[in-house]
Amino acid sequence: MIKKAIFLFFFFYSLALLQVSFFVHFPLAGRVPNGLWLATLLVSFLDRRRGTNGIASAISAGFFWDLFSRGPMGLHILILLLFALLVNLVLKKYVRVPTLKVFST
Amino acid sequence: MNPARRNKILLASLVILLLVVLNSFQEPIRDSFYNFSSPGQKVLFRAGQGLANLVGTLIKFKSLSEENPRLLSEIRAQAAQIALLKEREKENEVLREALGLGLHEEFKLILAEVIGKEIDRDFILIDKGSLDGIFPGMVAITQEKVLLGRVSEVLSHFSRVMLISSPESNFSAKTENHEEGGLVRGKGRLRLSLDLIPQEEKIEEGERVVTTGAAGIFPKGLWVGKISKVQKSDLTPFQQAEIIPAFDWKGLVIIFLISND
Repeated sequence: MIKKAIFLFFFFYSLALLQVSFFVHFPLAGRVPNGLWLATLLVSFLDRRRGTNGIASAISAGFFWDLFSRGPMGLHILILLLFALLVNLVLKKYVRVPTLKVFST
Repeated sequence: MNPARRNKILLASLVILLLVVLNSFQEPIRDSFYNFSSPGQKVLFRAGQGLANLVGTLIKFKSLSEENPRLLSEIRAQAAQIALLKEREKENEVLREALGLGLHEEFKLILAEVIGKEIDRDFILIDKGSLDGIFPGMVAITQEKVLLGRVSEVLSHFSRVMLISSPESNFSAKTENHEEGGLVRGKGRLRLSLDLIPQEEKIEEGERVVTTGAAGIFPKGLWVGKISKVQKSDLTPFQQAEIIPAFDWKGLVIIFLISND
């Protein structure tokens, strides 16, 4: 569990660096897609184990989104956390999807 | 208590504690992360720029042969205008000396490098902070004296510059051929508009927009952009125009901050 948390932390750190320094040069229709948000969505969607990976991803991604933005720290952590919980709730109650083995133990 | 419920309460408490700690030590946390990330960010920023330029060149390759002669012709026309303006500048300096007003001083500038752009907003991150003499409100320009924006937030080693295209930005400007000014408003995503232009002013596409210096927001005479589209309506007392910013976002690496504003 700790290994997974460390992996997610460094994964989202690298993604945040790419987002603010590399991807900004490649807008699609004038906007740069938010990789942090998309990655959180993907992990939450594929998570099998009660959403813990989705929550960990939301906290990591939100932390780095706050770090590289203005405003109070924690705003995007809360937003992504709520989002991950919502996705988890919808998947648990209404959807059956196959998940990747890497997200299960 | 149910273990699952207990875990949820524990997690919620940890998150709240994390938020309190993060907000209490916002500045040092941000500064430390930027400091640590800065070398990597610079490399990624320049790599992204290089790749974007290459892709852009490949895409535009076909139209380059048409664009080149047009640009050469524009350069020749502007060279003639520059020569005329240089003559006028010389005349002005002589007049100022004669009137005892002194010579015009160039700005005192601090050089900074762009290392990132804020997600979804018109803010850039630069590698100079309070320890380098940067303070909030400093005006940022390019080496061609094109207006970029103002410093909005300063950390010890890094600062955020709010671009003039940010929706929070507005300032007075005018077109080069008119004395009456209007209000430049940021529209977000690197877009600008010029509002409150009197209906009787004949604004044309391609006209350059420069700052007027009114209210002391930005120094006078900095290049803002070019008029791209004029919107007139008989129902309103003012007309509006869209502006293409003069700064080239994709080529932005080095900027200057005016320290004697």
